[in-house]
Amino acid sequence: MNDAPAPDLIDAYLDELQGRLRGTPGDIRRSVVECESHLRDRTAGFLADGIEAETAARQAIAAFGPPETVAAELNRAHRPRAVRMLIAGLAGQAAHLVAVGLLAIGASGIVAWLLTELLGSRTVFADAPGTSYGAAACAHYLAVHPNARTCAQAALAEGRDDSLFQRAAAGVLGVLLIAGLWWWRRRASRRPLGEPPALSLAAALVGVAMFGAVGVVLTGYGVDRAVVNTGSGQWLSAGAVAIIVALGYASVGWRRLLSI
Amino acid sequence: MATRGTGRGPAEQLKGHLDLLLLSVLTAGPAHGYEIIGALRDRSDGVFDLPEGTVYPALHRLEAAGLLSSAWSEDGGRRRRVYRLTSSGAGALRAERRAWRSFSTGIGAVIAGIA
Repeated sequence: MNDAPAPDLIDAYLDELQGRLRGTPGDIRRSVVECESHLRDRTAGFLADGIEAETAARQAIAAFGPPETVAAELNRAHRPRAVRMLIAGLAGQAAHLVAVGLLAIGASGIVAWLLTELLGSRTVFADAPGTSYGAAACAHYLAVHPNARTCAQAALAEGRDDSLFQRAAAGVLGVLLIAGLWWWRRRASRRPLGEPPALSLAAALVGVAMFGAVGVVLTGYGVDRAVVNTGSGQWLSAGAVAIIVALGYASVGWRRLLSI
Repeated sequence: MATRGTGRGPAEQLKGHLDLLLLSVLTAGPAHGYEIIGALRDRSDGVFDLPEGTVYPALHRLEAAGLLSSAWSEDGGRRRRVYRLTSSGAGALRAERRAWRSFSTGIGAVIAGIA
């Protein structure tokens, strides 16, 4: 004898309906709750008329319409909001990639500064041997760095300061952008907007490809500069940070893949 | 010559005017989907007995257009979404009613001549 309870027809109907629904998590949840409430009310109405339970559920479902028809109409009604969600999600992920890129540049500035402190400016920022500087450029470098004894020393100091300042500025911009995104996402999460997991996965893959490629190119260029006795630390610092960020994105992507 | 119908039942004909009918039902006051469908069926003496599940997408669309607003309410342990007409919805309903009266007057004048 089979003692398993009979499957609830309305639950089975709602499962099929939910499987066919597209849109924001909020729209889907709301639709299922409304449909269930309606079907249970309708079934209760039939039961009150003296109709047997299973027949009452079947009649309620028949009056409601096939799940594919109802789902198609609900999806059509929710499509504009779903499209808005997708566009907002794409913009958010793009802004996040830019912010991470700016933060990575800032981090490479810290690494470059540490290398400068440990190994000296020449190892990190020196121009290629034999580089010549114009008179006007030399005058400018020496005016900005009056303690430099030669034009080459002044040019090295100028290159180092400019590079560290620009990387620090990028890092500050990255922090501001990340803060802005955090505020925007907190605000958005109060509304029924979600983000498709596939979109997060795609963004992580883009991050791996983008930062990985940049990391390999910069590291390769840094090694090449080291071979010709030119300041390679500025390139190697940026390449190392880019590769670390790519590995971070790979880890995020893997977790997203497992959660889908 | 044999007389043939259009092949479109009341439910099919109703689809094009569903927004007008839903807005009209809600002039009586806020109601959830089940009540709205019941009112639609009762007021039309059962003529408008369309697939009930197709009313919810229409309600969601009207809400997205700003013609309705809605909120959850708890009743007998069951959550229901209660819809009410917004001021924009009331304005749209007035315009739809005028258009419908003009349309039905025209149709009535034509078919009266044929009958």
